[in-house]
Amino acid sequence: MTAIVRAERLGFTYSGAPYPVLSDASFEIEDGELLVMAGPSGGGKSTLLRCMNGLIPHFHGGAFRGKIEVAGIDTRERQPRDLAHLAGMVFQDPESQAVAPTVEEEIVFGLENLGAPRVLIRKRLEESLDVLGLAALRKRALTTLSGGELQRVAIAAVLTMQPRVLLLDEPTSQLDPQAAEDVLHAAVALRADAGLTIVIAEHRLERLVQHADRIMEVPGDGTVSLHDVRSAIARLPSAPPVTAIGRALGWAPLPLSIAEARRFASPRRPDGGSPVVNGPPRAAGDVAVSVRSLNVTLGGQRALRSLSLDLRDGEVVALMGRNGAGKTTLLRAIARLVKPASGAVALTHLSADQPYHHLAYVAQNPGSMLYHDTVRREIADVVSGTGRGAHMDDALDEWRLRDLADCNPLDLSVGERQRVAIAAMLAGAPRVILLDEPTRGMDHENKELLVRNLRARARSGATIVLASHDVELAARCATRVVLLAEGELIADGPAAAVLSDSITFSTQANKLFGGNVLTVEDALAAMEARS
Amino acid sequence: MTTAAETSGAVSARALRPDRVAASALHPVAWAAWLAGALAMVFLTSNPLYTTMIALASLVVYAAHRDPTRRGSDYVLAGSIMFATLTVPLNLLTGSTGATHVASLPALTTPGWLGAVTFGGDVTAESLAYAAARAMAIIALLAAVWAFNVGADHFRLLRYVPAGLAQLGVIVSVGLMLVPATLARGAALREARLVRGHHGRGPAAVVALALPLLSDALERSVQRAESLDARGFGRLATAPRPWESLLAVGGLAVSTVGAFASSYTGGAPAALCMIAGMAALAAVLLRQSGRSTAVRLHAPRPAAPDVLVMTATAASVAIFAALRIAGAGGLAYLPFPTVFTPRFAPLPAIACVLLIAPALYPSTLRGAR
Repeated sequence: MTAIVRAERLGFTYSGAPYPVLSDASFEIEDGELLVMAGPSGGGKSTLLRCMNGLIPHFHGGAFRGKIEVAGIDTRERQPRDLAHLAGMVFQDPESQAVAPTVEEEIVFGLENLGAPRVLIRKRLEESLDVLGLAALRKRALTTLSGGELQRVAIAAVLTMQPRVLLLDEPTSQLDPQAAEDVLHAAVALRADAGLTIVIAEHRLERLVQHADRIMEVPGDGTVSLHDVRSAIARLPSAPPVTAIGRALGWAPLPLSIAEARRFASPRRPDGGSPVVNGPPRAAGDVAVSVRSLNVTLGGQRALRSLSLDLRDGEVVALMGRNGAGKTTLLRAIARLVKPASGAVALTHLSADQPYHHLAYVAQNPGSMLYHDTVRREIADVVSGTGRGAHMDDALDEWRLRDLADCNPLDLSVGERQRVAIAAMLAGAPRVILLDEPTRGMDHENKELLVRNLRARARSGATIVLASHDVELAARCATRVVLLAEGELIADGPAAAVLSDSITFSTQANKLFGGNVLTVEDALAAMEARS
Repeated sequence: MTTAAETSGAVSARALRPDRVAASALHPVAWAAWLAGALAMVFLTSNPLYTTMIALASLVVYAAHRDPTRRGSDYVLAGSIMFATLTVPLNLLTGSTGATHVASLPALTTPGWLGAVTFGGDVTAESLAYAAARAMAIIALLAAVWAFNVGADHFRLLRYVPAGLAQLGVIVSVGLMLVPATLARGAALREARLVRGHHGRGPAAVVALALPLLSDALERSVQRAESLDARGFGRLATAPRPWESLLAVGGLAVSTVGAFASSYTGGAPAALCMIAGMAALAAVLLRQSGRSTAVRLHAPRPAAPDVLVMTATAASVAIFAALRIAGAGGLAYLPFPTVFTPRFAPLPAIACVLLIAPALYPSTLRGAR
């Protein structure tokens, strides 16, 4: 095996930053391997990926040290466009990388620039349309696509170029579980068929580790290290649930997938089927949000169809469903940001003069909600605007932002910006909290922070609604799960019932143990009870 | 394996966003020719009757090509026209000359060491007419640029930029994208302000959001340029020969100087300079794009409508240029020393009307399956 990417004492400091993001990193990536990059948000994963396709140092100001070679070419000596056939990059934010008006044009753009023969362009176009399930959307304008669809187009656009190295920066963060599975399968198949080298930065390891050859750890102190999958997974905090269960129970070798774990877990008992979903759980709280036969029409299309729902104090409701099922629209209707065509949303806790005093809403792309020049000002602005009366230091500490308090949000990583937006929007004690995809791009540690925070807020009576594709998150903190499809409510019940009753929306622990087991803790408790 | 994903795709677009967007049937090159022609005509005349006609023709084109789902561009156009009209009082404030006295403003003369410039004072009909004619020319320019902006497909235009000028293409494309991207971001930020408990509209909102909008727009532009570069845009470029670069830069400079000279002095040599400069620039662009080796799977070919638009535009410019050189048709309007009604002749009026050609092929909604 030969090295396709070779870094020697690579270092990079963004201009104006006090510390280097990368320092003295030396590593070799072998040709044809699938590498999973793990590390906290803001730790340098995106920076390292940008080094591999030459955008750093050519596009970003800062101090670049050492060197990195891709297929034997020193990135300092070539412009990124001249490396495009070697290293193809899918950026974290699919909205910002689209350049063409329609799906087809976007997908062939790169190959056209490489001067590939027309026949080849045509063939690759059809292939990637199939691989990513985009054939039905091929003539569509990009502005009409949902976030998840756009992400698939962005991946297809780079796949058609069949670069030697494929760099994916959190490629599944916006996808529903099935679509994410499809995208990752496509990548794994490409590696096998075309011999691509793939580097994926990802926080959710559960779908990936079983396919990975090695794990690249980027812990955030400037170092980069490569590890064997099993040895890394034994200590990574972000290890998938099956591995965490295996660790706690001393299984060896540590399982990386459900299939491997089945050897250790007693077979799933056919205990008379899963619990039956029969309506929302009986919660003690009073009704906080009442949605009555709600219809919403967007751009001439019906986004929600006669939806009725009662949300109570102290509930954590996970809103799940495919990309584009109407989750965001429902949140926005409750947040009074879209007008219903008919029906109504009633909020119990509503002050007449300031609707957002009791109501907090965090949009899907939280970075887009920030507009001040320091983190502190962002929080102060919400506190004064909504009149919630929160303490600045409490809000900062609650989300571990003390060190970033005087930073400009524009200088932070996507994951950090998200934390700032959540901290600002949730400052004080709003009674109804609406979060749209809150864990997109979020690392393990921050996810834990969010879960603990939301649980605590629910205990003190807040009503929380999460729209999310993250099944493990829903299992960890939701008391109730509502499934939407094509704008209609199709299932509503206690988390354990809905999530264990599903093929796509079910957790690893549940796949392994069945029944009411959803999380690692549930599984360990069940094992203890059994023994 | 794709069935599930396909279904989800179909559902999501129906549920979330409008299914179709406006798209122009005209070739980007036809659009570029139309814009160049309209601008040249504005610079060839100072007669407010004709500039008004050019502005109206451009607005008709704008109306035929605007995207009805995006109201933002209407506001920007209306706003920029308002700013252009503001130049009239500003012009009058900086002093008037001419024989026909209309009104008197309090006068303020700066001290001698500051040039003894008089602000205010007498307002004359001549100055008023001159200022109004200048404002009308600016409005005509804005309307033409804006009609081009909503009508022409920026991406297709970018694909038409010769490889040797790819970097220029990136800059122009990023610039063109800035306005729509900023408008979209403005809507998102207004919403963010709303849920933070502030009022989403009004001057306070504008002040609070102006700076973040600008820095955000810049950030987005960098991301777009990054994305273009990472996907190999412009890598097949063959560097232009030195004489080509010289001709392009020289053509641009000569046509710019000629345009302003022509519009201020009204001399025939200036008009010729402008036309010659534009021709040189066009020649270099055509030579360069002929040399490009990039393959285009969806390269649109100029069709009958494009030929018609280009022919009509060429005819309009030819009429204006010929009249200008012959000193006929009342193209020049300088209301000094005594104000007079601008002349109106049928031939230049016909040339202005020909500019509405792109409106014959309005943008259709596209993107539906």
